[in-house]
Amino acid sequence: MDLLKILKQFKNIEPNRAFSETSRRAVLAQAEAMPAWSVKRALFGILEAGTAVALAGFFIMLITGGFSGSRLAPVQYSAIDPQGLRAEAQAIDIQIQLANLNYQGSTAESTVQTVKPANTTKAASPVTSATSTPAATPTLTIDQALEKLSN
Amino acid sequence: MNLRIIAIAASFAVFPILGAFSFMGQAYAATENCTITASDVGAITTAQANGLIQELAARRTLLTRIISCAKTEALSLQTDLNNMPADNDTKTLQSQFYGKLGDAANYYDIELSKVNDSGIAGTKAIANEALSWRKANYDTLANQISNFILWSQNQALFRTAEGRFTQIGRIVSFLEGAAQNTDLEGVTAIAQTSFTNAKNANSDAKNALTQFLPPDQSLSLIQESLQLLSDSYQKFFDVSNVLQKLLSTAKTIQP
Repeated sequence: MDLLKILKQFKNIEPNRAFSETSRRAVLAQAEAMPAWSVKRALFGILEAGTAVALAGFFIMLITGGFSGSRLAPVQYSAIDPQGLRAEAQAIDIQIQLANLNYQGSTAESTVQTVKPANTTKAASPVTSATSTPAATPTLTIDQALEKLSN
Repeated sequence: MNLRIIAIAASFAVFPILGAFSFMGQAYAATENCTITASDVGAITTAQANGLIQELAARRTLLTRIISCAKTEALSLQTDLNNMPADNDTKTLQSQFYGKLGDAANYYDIELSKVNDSGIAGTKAIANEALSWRKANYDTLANQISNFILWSQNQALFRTAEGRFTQIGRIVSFLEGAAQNTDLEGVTAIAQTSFTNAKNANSDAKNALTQFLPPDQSLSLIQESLQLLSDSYQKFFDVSNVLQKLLSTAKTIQP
């Protein structure tokens, strides 16, 4: 038998009429149900993606310590470390000394020798004159110098 | 051609260096000018012996120098004020003080402009006027601003203490959840009260500053708030000691 002839006969193959009718009905019925399912699926997909993103965010926050002010933050026992506490207490003591300097500065007049007023917080390390004035020559405050000039 | 290029390049290199030297010279001069000694005032007495013209010149020179230094002082404080950390609450006060220092600098400019047109009596009057103005206005303003800067610097310490106390509180709650301990409850309550007192004093100091109360009053409140904060840390140590004892006991009990 000629093979080519056989292949050409394949063109005439058709499905059974009853089978094609059943299949058509099944496909059409499926197509009707699809829209309702697609909305549900879309919602489910959004929910799924949202949950995944939220979980990822939560873990990132947990790892990077983003909850460090909240109840979710892990208990840090380093908070009772005496060395850390001592360092902070010392910083306060230094500030108390600066405040006392402010107090002394407010009761004494600012000196002319310092460009910054002596009663500022930076007065602890005043910018002294670049020139070396003889120790024997007393320096005057702005107010003292003005007083001398007013007479 | 090459020589021309070299000359241009050299001038580009030399001018900034000269500029830097000139700037250094100015800074040096500015510092030197603000070191006023008794001998500077004595120079006027020397000039008096050489006649009125020399005395007037000496008075004008020294008065200009003193008022310029007073202006530098105000501008320097203005820079300090501008550089200090300020939150939204204190920004208004910061800008108010900034403006007042600007007014002070303007006042000194006005006084400076009068000096060269004044005679000997005029220079004396300007000196007297500037002195009275400083005593009545500037000294109080400068002290208030210094206190404000000090108070602003303290806020970082209060924030650190707040964070520290929150962390300690979480450990206390965690352990209290497992087993109640009266010692721990007691020292924590004392620490809480002490820290609250410190925060209240800090808040009072801020109110004193915003109400422009006398500088001594605001400074005294600032000192009190710092002392109370220091006391709070003593109480934090007490809590820390009790916690460490409890934790070490828990470790020994563990199999």
